[in-house]
Amino acid sequence: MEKGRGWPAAAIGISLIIIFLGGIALLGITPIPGLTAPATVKVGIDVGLTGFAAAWGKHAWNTYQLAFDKVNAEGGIKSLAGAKIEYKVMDYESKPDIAASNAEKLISWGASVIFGCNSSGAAMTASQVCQRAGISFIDTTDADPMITGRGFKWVFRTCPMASQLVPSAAEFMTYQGKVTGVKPTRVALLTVEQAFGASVRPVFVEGIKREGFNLVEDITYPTDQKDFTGVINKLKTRGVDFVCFVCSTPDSILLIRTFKEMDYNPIGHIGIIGGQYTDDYVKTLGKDADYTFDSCFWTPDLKVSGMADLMKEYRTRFGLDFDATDATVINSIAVYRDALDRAKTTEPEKLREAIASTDIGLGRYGYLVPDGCKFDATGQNIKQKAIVFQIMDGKWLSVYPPGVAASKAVWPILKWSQRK
Amino acid sequence: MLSESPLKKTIFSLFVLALLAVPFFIRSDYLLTVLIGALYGAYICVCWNLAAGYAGLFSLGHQAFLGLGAYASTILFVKYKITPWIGMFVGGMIAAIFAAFITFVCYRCRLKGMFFAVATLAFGFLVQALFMTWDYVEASTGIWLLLQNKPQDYFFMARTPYYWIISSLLIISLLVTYFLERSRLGYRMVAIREDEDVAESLGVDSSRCKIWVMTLSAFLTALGGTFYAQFYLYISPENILSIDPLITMQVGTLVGGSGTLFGPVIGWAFFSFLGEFLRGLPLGATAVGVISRIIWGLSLLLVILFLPTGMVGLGRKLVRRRAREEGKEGSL
Amino acid sequence: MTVFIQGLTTGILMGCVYAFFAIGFTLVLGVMKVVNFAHGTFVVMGMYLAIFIFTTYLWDPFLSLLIVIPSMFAFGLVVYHLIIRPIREQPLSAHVIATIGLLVIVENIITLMFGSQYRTVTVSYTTSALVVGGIRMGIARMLAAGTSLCVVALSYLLLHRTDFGRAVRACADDIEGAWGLGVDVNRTFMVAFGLGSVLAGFSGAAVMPFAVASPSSGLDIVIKAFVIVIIGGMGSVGGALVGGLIIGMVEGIVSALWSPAIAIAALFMILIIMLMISPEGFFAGEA
Repeated sequence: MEKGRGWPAAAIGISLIIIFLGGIALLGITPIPGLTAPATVKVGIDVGLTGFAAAWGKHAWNTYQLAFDKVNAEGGIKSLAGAKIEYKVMDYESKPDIAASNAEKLISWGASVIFGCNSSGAAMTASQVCQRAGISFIDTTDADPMITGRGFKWVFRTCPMASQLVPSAAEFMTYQGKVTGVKPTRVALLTVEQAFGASVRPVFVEGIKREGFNLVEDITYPTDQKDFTGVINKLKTRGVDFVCFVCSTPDSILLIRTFKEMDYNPIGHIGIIGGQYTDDYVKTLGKDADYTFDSCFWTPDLKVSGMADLMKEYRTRFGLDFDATDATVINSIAVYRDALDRAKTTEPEKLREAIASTDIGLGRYGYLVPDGCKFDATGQNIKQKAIVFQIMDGKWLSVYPPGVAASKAVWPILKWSQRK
Repeated sequence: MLSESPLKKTIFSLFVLALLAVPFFIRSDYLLTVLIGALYGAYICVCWNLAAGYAGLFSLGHQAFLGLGAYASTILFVKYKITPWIGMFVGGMIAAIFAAFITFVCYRCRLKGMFFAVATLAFGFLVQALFMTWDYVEASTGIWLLLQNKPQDYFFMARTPYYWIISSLLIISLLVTYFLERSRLGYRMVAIREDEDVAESLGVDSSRCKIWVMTLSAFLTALGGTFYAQFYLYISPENILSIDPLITMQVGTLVGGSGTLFGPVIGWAFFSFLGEFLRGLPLGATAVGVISRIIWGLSLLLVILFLPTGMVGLGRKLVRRRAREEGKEGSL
Repeated sequence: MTVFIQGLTTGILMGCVYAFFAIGFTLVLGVMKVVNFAHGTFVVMGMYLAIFIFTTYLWDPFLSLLIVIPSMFAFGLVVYHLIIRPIREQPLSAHVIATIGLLVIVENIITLMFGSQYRTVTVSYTTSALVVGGIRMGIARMLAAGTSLCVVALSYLLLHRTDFGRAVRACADDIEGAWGLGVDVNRTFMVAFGLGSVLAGFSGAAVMPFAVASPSSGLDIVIKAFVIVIIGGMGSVGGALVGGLIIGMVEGIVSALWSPAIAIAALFMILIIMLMISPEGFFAGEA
């Protein structure tokens, strides 16, 4: 085996590198946002359109398009002399590394704000990039408490996070126990191994114990788990009568199917966002999805003016049903538009201050969930309530908290043999 | 006849100069990040090449060394406040010990070629599975490092310091490869790779050589792991212990030319810029990622089908053809 | 105790399914010494073909086999001719790169056509189960396991009782010798690879009544196949069954008694132990 003279290849390689660099350098000219009154306002969108996050990401992307196109059709941002919104989306392929690099690219394109991400891992890296670059990051849908727990002043989250979603779920369990007299006595927690699951789990464990329930099983399973018969069997033999979930779409579907296959009939089961509010869940399971509980951001039966028309428009344009992910995007866009009005500029620091001092209520710029949005010192929205729903006839019906809910829960849920 | 050492030295110096010049021309954070990512990929390819390319140790579990390095320095920092500058060497030692152990066990059990590959594959997946459930390292949640500026603890707000660090690491690894090529250990390694039985009959102690090379490779890989942790600020079994970094190592090295000095760098430079370029194409949001990956996969196939000796091999063929055309050196 | 038996039962059923995934892989590996990392993605192709036929014509996945089998065979022949034949005699590294490239291409074509979200097929017996003494066995799972056993038996017969099978085994043992005996080695390999692809697609379609499919499931499937092949022996169909059953049972029992996450670690520990005691597998040298 001869030792080679690799020099022509090396020379080619180095030239290639230099050419590439030159090419990209030419493309990398960075306009600084906010120096002059903008004719367009640039918005960066970092979502997952392929991979496991696509289930939520594709919905989010639809809503961004719908909402921003509407703003432009109605004359743009009035407080900025009718500036149109120029939005750009990038797919992070369900990988946090790519989410970070997308954020960098969008910022170098001139985005005045970055919206994201529909998976906690990606939100963590993308928000980090924004913090370092000094551009506001608005998290629409992720639950990991750490996103707003790092003292980053450029990071905001409009949706409720784990420490708000979980108490809703746990308090709901207590409330239903009181109202119907059927209390869960042996509770199990099933968590998926992703970052989302792992970050919510300790909050849920604490929440369940705080409400005084007896947590007898705390099981974690890998992301691509294909078979749950062993797990469900364990629940049955240990007499678990209520199951709490932190799961994503494919496992939630498999779990319910296994419940049915094994004729497992708990008093009820409740999730924290996850797969239960997606249309994939309802479409795939059909009638078997009924009676599912979940603590989530929004339900279609809330009394908000203009919501029905918005949902119809969405259905007409995209052929899909508007869901909770879409609602969170509308909420975030509402916050952004309100902040633009108050800042009257896209200059990063002024815009950030305007976002940080947001205090809006239900309905402002189409905000869809009571009670609106106000950020605390960490950038977390503390005004919005988490809503518990129950799926009935393939529809998501709000059942808690009492002042907001439009329906009463069916508790305990019907046994498989009782359902038609 | 041209002696190759001066040539390699020239190319090497040019490369180093190019690396040094870059930060003075490129200011964009985004471009620096892309470059740093590419250099990191090239670095782990060069490390893998030491074991797989030169010694024929086709390791399919090298990501475990990356992860061990990253987790060692991170845990030491997060739990015991030991600076990652020291932590990375601890990580390197841990990886080295595991590497030596595995190579020894494989030698004892006569696991060679494909079986060695499978053994390392099993090791890699085992480490990932264990870390996914081990609470001491935060299991599947992963560990977040805080964005801050603390140079003494290997944290920088700006991108440029990271660029210098990874460039230095890459240059060091290339130097290691270069000197290894010329050392006695290097010659023995190549002899083992070509035909182990013949080498042994000539007095080469193949187990010692293999262990040395694997250990060296693992140590360097682990340093890369710490860099990853300090740059991307998030490690979890799903990113640094997954098969993705391994695919990077294989693609870069095998496409560029395994067992060569510059092969891994060229191979990975090509594929990483190809990937970046494809992702920037205006093909519509949902389609661009998918189509770019299809083209990426297709390029991989085309390269392996038509350039079985890698890009460096192509270079050598061109040289030979030119030499044949130009001179009548060497009789038939 | 019921937990243990239920875990064991499910494990045996799933074990047959895993064996089914692995038969094609072990065949190709044993016969032409090619590691096909894209094998799992071929299984996924079978899954998506079944999904497509179900959504369009409402055919049960087992009925859709009428289309899946010939399609996968044709596909396998093409892939062999274009990709496998050139790299067959090259070292392992070439196999790895080429089949990873193939994996990426196929996986992303599937994503382009069907999207990344998870897909399922819901037939009348998807959630039905047979109850025996308190142990529940899913009907869909039993059908897949049963089919697997039939396919294993058929494959064994094919390899040992037909002329083609003899030709295949001859090529596996000694290519030069096979040429000498007048066997068209290239054509034999091509058909063998086609068969391997058929087996992959077949297994994918057969599990659709109860499984959840996604374009990226391929890598996990081929890794499990690898483990099975090491335990059972390269090229041995019976070995694939034994290997599959072993990992199925281990997974089922460990998941039931501890947790699914620990089960994965257990599988790789078994692989490592196997490599240390008997790397050739239990049935090395036999098909």
